[in-house]
Amino acid sequence: MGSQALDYALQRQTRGTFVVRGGEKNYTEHSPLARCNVRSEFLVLTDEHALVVERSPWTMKTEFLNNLPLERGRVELSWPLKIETALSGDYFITSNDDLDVRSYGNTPEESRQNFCEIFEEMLDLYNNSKDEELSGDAIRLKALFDKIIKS
Amino acid sequence: MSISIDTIKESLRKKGFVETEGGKHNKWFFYHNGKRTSAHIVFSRTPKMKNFDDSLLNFAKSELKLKTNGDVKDLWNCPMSREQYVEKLISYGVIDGE
Repeated sequence: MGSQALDYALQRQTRGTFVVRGGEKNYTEHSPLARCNVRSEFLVLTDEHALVVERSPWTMKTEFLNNLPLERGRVELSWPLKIETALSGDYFITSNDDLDVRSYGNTPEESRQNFCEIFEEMLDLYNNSKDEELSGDAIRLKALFDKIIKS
Repeated sequence: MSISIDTIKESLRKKGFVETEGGKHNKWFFYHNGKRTSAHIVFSRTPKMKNFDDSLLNFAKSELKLKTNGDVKDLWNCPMSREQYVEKLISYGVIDGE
């Protein structure tokens, strides 16, 4: 373990996600190494070349989206969709509770991409369902999905 | 702690969850009285992911419409029967009690 990194780890708050940069390796984004460290109570670097250089802002991010990039193209939404991306252990979870759509991924970008894909799959699923095929809260969700895309 | 996704799927199948065909992501919905409910879980397309990590229990809890992580584990590991799960969904207002 690099002594500089150890000094950094012991002197500073080390919980959360970190962006790390190594001597021989260059971690330019959230690396498996960085997320592996998050699992511990305190930072333990397992790569002797790694140095913690920056605390990531990716603890939690909330966005309001007016449109979404789907496979069918970018669609305008009837109301701003609040989505949250949060770190949970080793994964990033992106969610919208109103529409009951959630995804996870190894990086915020992967989670966000999965969210858009799952949103579209849920949209198609509910749009192609009849009320009589659904039970309870699923009927409410169908009503929302029927309106969410601006025509 | 983690549990194999294949084990989870087998358990869900026994409890009345049905895999939805199509799409890039693996979606399982709970059916009650022949109707699809909002209780579901999506296994995101994540390369090389074969196990479901404990850090995703909160994710699973929301998807499956349960209140505690312990309930999620009980559903997966079998102590919670299909009937007990239905009772919970009815009491939480997720499905109609018919």
